[in-house]
Amino acid sequence: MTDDYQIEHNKAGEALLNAINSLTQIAKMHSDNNDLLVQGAQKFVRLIKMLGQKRTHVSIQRAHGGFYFLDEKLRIRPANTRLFNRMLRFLENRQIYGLHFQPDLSKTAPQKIITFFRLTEQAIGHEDPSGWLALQCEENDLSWVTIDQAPPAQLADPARPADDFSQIDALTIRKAQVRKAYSHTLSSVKEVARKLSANQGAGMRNCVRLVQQMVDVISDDETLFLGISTIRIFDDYTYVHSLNVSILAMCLGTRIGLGHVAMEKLGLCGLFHDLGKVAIPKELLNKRGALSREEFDLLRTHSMHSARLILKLRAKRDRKVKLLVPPFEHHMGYDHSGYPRVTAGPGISLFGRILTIADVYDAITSPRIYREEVMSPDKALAHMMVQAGTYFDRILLKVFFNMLGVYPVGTLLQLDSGEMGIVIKPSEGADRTRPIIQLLEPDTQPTYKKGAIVDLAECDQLTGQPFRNIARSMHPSAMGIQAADFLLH
Amino acid sequence: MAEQRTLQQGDVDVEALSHQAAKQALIAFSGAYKKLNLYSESHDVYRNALQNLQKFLEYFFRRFGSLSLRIERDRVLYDNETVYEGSSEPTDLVFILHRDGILSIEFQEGLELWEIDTLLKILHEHCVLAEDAEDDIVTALWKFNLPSILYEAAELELGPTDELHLAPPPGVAEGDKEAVEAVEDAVEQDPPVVLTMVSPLAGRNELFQLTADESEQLRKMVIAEEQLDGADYVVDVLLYILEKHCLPDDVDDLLNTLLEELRDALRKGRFAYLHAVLVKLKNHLDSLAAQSHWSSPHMKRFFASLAGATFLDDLLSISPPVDECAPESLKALRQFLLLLDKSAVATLGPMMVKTQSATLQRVLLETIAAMARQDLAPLEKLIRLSNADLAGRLVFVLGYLNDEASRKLLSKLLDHEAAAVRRQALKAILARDDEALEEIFALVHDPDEEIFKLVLQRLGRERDAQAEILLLQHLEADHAGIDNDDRYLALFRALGRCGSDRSIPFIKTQLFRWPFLGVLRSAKRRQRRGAVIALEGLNTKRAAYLVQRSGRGVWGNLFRSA
Repeated sequence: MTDDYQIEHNKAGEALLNAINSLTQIAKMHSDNNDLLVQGAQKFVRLIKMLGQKRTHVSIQRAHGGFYFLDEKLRIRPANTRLFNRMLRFLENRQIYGLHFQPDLSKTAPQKIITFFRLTEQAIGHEDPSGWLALQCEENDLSWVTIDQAPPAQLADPARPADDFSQIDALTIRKAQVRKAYSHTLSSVKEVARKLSANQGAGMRNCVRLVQQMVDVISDDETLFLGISTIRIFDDYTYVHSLNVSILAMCLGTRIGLGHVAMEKLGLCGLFHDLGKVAIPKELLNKRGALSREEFDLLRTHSMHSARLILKLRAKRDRKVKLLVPPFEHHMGYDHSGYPRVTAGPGISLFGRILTIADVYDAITSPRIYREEVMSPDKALAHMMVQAGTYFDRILLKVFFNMLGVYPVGTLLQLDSGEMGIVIKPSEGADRTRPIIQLLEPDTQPTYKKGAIVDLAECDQLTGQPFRNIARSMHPSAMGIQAADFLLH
Repeated sequence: MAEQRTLQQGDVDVEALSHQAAKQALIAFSGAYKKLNLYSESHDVYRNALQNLQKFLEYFFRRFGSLSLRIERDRVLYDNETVYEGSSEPTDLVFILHRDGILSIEFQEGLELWEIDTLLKILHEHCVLAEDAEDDIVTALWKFNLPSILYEAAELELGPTDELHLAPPPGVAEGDKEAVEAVEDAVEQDPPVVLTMVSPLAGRNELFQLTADESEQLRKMVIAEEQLDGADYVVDVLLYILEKHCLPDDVDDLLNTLLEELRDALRKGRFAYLHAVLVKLKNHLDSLAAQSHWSSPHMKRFFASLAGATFLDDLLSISPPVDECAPESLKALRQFLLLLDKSAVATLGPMMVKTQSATLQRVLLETIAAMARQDLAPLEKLIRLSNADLAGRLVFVLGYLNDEASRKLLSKLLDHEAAAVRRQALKAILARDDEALEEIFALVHDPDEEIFKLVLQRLGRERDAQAEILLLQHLEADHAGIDNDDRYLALFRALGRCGSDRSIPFIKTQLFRWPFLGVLRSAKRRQRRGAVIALEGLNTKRAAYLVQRSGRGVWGNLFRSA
């Protein structure tokens, strides 16, 4: 095999991986008729045609920690490392061992291509993701693509035992990992805050490692972390809030295509954005009733204190200065209408704008001692919508809405059937108002137990009417429910 | 049966060979790691060890595929066989991998030299793990994401908090069952209204979908973030904290961080930005000083540090170099430098000698001159303490100043022990054209030839009675004491240029003094030559007559022979 051939082969394989990666990413953010997405689908058709000249199919398969394009291994180069690793994880998490495309897709409508990539993205939430995807392809008449649900035999390595990952309940394992990561991160951020408030040196190695773990999971599937970010723990509000903001910010970061190192930074910014609250008296943080002018002013110094305390972390200056700005800015507002009032300067940083959105969303959906009413997640979004383009960056807010859906994960819904359920997944179809929910069944008062999982988009085939409609939305705390209990167990 | 035995024997051989190859690779790996701990990354010893390691790994890949290793506390296993044993050294390869929780590591085919190099550097940088470290081998490997090196790391040991215990949210948790009951009653009593669009967001797709334009803006935002320098943001935050909420415990941290940020900006040649920051800082400092604020001395020290060599010397190696800066940028550099503490002169002066850049020299010179206009003392002090080369350049700067103080200083410097300083001082004085001739004339004895020439050039610049008298007095009083013929004749030449017939009597005595038998004595010959040179320079009728007269008879022959 000549070097030239190898280069061309590698380029072709990378082009295919790249196309799959970008289409799944774009499909996350755009509706089916979006120009960018449609153009992406058309480009994909052209690419497959080009790659499939004189061939019966175009295949990409994973085996032995690498990729095989048309049955030949692709070489890993520094430039394609991230793409390879990302796509490996993407396919591993969906238990997909290979994809085979028919070379001529000219008669396939772009919408069908888009549907396939949407389904591939959604497969992760299912117990047998590749089996589910294969079934969906069949139901949606996507016969131009075949999915390998087992390791490809011709690429098998006799020295290695077969991958038995599929035998284990991957979702259960992932849920346990997410719970553990959440719990450890929570204790780590508390430890950092404790040390700083005691004027002791605080390192951040644990936080860095845990954030990296979260980035890995979120990059492939944000659903579980979005679910766990619904946790509300009253006594640890500040730290739980910090962690939730970090998660929401990282999920948003993934949506907008940030690289993994930038994601780590964003996650750490989220974790530390409210560190400054250790400098505010607890009585003031939890005070019921109106605050005096002086108290407000004092409370508003917390973002400045966050930046100040980040400088005190035991870390290299380069890293600290990269972390201190977004926490400082997280209450400033896109239009600088918030605090601290700093009107000069280069404007609010991208991460500052992301934190602003995540911070407000988590705060207004959290029960607080001084607030009589807590907003349900969907109402919180509606509330935030009013300030799109003023307090919030309009574009980022749109991506955030797109990520959470009309009824975000963790929203408690009362149905016209008299049932209640918690949103566990945003709507998969075009109608964003019909999410997938976990029904709740009354248990020993005042608790509930898990009922069936239902898709609110399901319709009666005779009448064409949905089986269930949403009567109203509530915050789970209104019923004494920890949404995360139902989402992560 | 015999065939089966041969196959098994072959397997054993391959297994043994693979173990042997793995051992060799591990020895090479450990060797390269140790070399990096002893030598710099560019040292031949390390580079050779690195290439040696790659050779062993490539051999392994060719024969046996990827090399997958399991890390235990004190050893490394390949295929359940110990292929490397660690030592008890705290920086031992196995120890540090195990310490940071690396369970396994796999070198895959296609591994390139830069990946091995990066891995070794990661190990080297993290060979000692501080109690409050910010990174370790695992976090560093994650960041670099080396394509052909896979690893598995143990989870952090963070105590027993391995599961979340979620209590119901507040309200209910505090026994507020009434709230629950009220909601449940409402559910039971009010027949639910069928609302398919209960959320205000429902049906508003425009709130969820980006337009093509917005997608493009978002893409640019992300690219900008990934390439963001971020210094502007950081400095703004630091300035805000310094101005509004600076606490005694924090001030040094804040100012050190600020100093490093400004240093980065200086290295990048961001002069306009530096100027803007310094304007803010200066205003802040003024305000603190006016209030006698506790942080005022800290800020003053900070300003002094900006004026020091440890900060400003970076200007000598900025990229792109000063010579390539646009005129606006140079203007900003001057403005920035002018805002520094006046003690900066002591730093900027030596930089003039260090830099090869003519542009930077000019900027420094102009800055020092501008600073000296406000306060001459630092420059004077520096001139006093500097070596001749630098002092000479600094005196040159004084020439830019047209004030009385600098003029006085120049006069003082005419007595400086270094000729270069006296020379520059004299040049500066002459260039100002406000010199006192007596002062200049005092240097007529200066041993430095260039100074002597400058003095005579000035004296002989034009017909000038004062210069003439000074020269006459000098020649009358001391002509025999000038033992350097060239200097002696130069004095006469200067006299000829500045003098008048007033000098004729003196010149005549030099010309016609009877030498008696000493007619051929050189000293006398020198006098007469000087006299003729002076007469030619005077260019008057009387002078011409004397020259003519001296050219006849014995005298003429004598002159010609001379």
